Amino acid sequence: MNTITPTMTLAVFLSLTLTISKLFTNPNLNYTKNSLMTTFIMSLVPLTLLLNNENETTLSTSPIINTTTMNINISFILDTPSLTFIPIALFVTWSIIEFSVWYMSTDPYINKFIKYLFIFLIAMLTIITANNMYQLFIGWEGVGIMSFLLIGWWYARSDANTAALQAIIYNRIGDIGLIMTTAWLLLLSSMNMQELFTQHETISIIPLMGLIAAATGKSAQFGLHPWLPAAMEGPTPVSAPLHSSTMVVAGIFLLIRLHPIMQNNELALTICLILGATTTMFAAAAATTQHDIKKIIALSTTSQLGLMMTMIGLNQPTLAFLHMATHSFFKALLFLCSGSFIHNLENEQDIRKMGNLNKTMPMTSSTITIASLTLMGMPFLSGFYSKDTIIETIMNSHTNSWALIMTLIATMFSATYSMRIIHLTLAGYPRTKQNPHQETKAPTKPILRLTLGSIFVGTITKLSTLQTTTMHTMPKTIKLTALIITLTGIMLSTDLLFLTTKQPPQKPKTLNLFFNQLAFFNLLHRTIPMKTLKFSQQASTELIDLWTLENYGPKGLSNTSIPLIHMTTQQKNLIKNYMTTFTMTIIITLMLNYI
Amino acid sequence: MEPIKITLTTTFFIIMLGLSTQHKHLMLALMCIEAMMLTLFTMLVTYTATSLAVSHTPMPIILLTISVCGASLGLSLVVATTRTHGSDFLKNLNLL
Amino acid sequence: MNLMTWLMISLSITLSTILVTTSTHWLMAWACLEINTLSMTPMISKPHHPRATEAATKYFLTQTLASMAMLLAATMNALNTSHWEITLMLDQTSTTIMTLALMMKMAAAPFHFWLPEVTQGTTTLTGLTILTWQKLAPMSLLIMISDKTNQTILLTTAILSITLGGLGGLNQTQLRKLLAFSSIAHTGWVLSTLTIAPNISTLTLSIYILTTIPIFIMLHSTSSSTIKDLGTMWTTTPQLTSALTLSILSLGGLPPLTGFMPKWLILNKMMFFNLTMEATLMAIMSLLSLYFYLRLTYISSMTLTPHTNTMTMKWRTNPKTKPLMASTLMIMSMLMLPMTPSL
Repeated sequence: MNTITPTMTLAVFLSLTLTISKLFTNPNLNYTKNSLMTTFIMSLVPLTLLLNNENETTLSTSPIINTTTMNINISFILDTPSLTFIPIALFVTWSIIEFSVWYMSTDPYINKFIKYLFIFLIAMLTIITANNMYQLFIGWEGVGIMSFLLIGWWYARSDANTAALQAIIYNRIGDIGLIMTTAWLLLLSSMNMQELFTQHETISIIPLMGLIAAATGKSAQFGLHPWLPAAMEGPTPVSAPLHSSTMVVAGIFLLIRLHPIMQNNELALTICLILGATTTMFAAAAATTQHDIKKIIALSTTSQLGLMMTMIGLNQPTLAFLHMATHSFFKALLFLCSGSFIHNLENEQDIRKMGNLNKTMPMTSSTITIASLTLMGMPFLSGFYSKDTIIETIMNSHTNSWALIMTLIATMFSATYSMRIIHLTLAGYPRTKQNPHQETKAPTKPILRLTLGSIFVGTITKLSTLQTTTMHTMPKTIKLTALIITLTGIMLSTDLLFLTTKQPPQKPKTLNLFFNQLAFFNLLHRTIPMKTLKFSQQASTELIDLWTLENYGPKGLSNTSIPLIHMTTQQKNLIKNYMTTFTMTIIITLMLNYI
Repeated sequence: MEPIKITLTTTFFIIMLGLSTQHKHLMLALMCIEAMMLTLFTMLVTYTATSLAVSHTPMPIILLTISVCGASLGLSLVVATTRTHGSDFLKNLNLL
Repeated sequence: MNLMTWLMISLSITLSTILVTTSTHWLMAWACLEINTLSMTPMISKPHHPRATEAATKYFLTQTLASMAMLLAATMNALNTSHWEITLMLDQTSTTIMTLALMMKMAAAPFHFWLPEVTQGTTTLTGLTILTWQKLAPMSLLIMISDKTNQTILLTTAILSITLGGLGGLNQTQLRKLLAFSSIAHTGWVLSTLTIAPNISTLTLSIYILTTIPIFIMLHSTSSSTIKDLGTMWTTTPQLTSALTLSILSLGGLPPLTGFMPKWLILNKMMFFNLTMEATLMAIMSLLSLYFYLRLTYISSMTLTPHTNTMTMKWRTNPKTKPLMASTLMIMSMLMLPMTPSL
């Protein structure tokens, strides 16, 4: 029996927890990145064993809670998705924490900040390795709470607080779906993943809808999308893990993990497909209209998540997972580079005010270019391996040409907004006052490490897992669609950006406004709760406070008892009255006795 | 026997009503009490007269003795009330 | 007051009550009650103050009227049945008159009006005597005729007493009047089980007496006469003030304290005899009393009233009595609930 895999995985959890507890006593933060590096290397051991032996393990403790119907125990599943994603999450977080020690060095509570990031990571690892719905739910809520705390890190700013609340509220809508599904499975099936997967024939659409709602909330799919751009109010080192390897991919990961139970349900898959296609197209279009660099990158995350969702809708969870893995690297890299720029420009985030950064920050400029190219799906960078395969798969499937068109447009848009970032930030002349810092080791080391990841991870994955490629025969145009679309996007954006410098300023079109305002979500998402809350408040005030309590509640009670009190104590102290009462009572009682 | 009983009981209740409804003088209240006492005395005398047991004979006297004690206490209260309140009007007894 | 006089009077108060409880003849009981009234009246009018005289007059008039009605009932019974035995009240009409007259003596509603005023008009300790000792004699007579009395009258009076005691106390700031209203409410509880379980009534009365005595001793030793005075009571005896709070809550009948025991037993017994409506009504109406008890505890120990300097100077004068008796009784009034099965 192979005991190395579970031992090493548990050691990863243990060492992360120990690092947090060490932070309480030791304020020096340098060892945190070292310990993360160690855990990353440790987590490579199970991955190697997995690739070598192809064996999957589950690890269960004896039951913690015994009930008559089922037992609750801690259980880890160590299969391909979890063992692959643990090193990725650790690698990305290692770089991010090293970057944030530099980025947040002036923050008085940096120690707490690092602790939060660690807990965030542990919660995500809990989701990845969970073998029953309870454990998954614990991790799920853990990332929810930690994202709330981290987005609202600069709690003195009302924007940050609003964004944090927005994140937790939108996530809560998804959580309701997950809770509903968990309850459903608890009643009709099982909590345990293995037992769950064997019953895939009997699963109804209702728990699947709950799962899709959970994924929609957590992964910011269309409908519950506004919190993700708003979450950019947090510090940049928060956005990086939030968008790459932890929070938002949890929703997609949930669907990947529970894919066996939904693979036979056409309706659920179609919903996923439509939702994913809409999200990817909408978010990409919205990204082209934004001006805040972090918001552009955030919306590009939403777009990529939509792409993963589309893949799940096409019954290809492996491809979704592959894209999730490669996406982690270049998205974290994009955020770290933009963080570096923002630091350089004295907290200026508007790309219209940037420019000429390739002169002051050559290394960061080249890495952000690489990251953008990876995002576009440049051949032989890591994004290519996942994105190209995805588009090829959609082209070859005969499900829904609408989804295909949406995805292709989104791919074009992704090239467009990436080019826009590169053009406006790196080229041209500086448009605002710069406060350049040296590209020292501290910020560049994690960036370079992630760049290596962005370049090579796709190749490594390809070489290590898919050594036997089956032969496909397809026309040249179809094979090259992704590339052609991307090149079209690049050319269009270059031309348009060139044109805008020659034309007089114009009033934005309605379509532009529509995407810039994220489909006017404010109207729906704010007006409806506002109206409902206003109505309920008014109803409760008028019905309960002003009417029930006043007339029949405490106030009514006192109002009724005051006349009674006055009546009973209103006897003018006259002895005659007392005696009359006595005599009359005797007479009346006697009369009643005789009647 | 019966008419006497009914007459005496009715007398008692009428005096009691009188005591309850009069609100002029404390003295008058005391006199009502004495009247009630006398009615009771008469009732007891009637009872002892018809009763065959000799041991019941001193009962009216016991009643009279105690009612005299009560009357004297009542009179002393009239004095006290007059001294503290200026008169023996029952209406004046409204300090509490 | 002259010592000899005082001795004589208090002796006759004590003796007459004891004689009432032991007598079997109505005339004897009546005579002893009359002696009791006659000796209580000078006790009440002891302070040379118009209020005391007025209280004595009111006490005398009401008690005499009740005695008259009592004797009338006894004589009517004797005329109809030739019986003077207390336990042999065979005549229905005279039993009713007797019950009402004894209720007047016990100050149950609707004949309760004299009690707050008389208690207010006299000194604290005399007030305590009126509220506690003076209830024993009529109570014992009521128990002796309890198998003949009309239950409807008793229950009506009980509910009325609890209600009026609660309502009357809500509007009071004078402590003695307030405690008199509390006594009226407790009389209601005592009367409620008189026909169905006289032993529980006796227990209720004894526990009420046990709880009231320490409170009155406290009020006496700190010279408190209004609710306002409770606010500065802590300057004299902080420990006893907190204990007083618990005693008052025990009087209100809150569960871990002794006062809960009689209410518990009474409600239980009434449920047992299918008097659920009446029991519910009584329990709800006792909330009114609880409200003013809570007001007392709130003022005495849960809040600090705004003081002027002179108000806190109370510690300069020594307490009048040693609190030994009060503290012993307070412990009993708080902690006797676990002893319920053995009582």
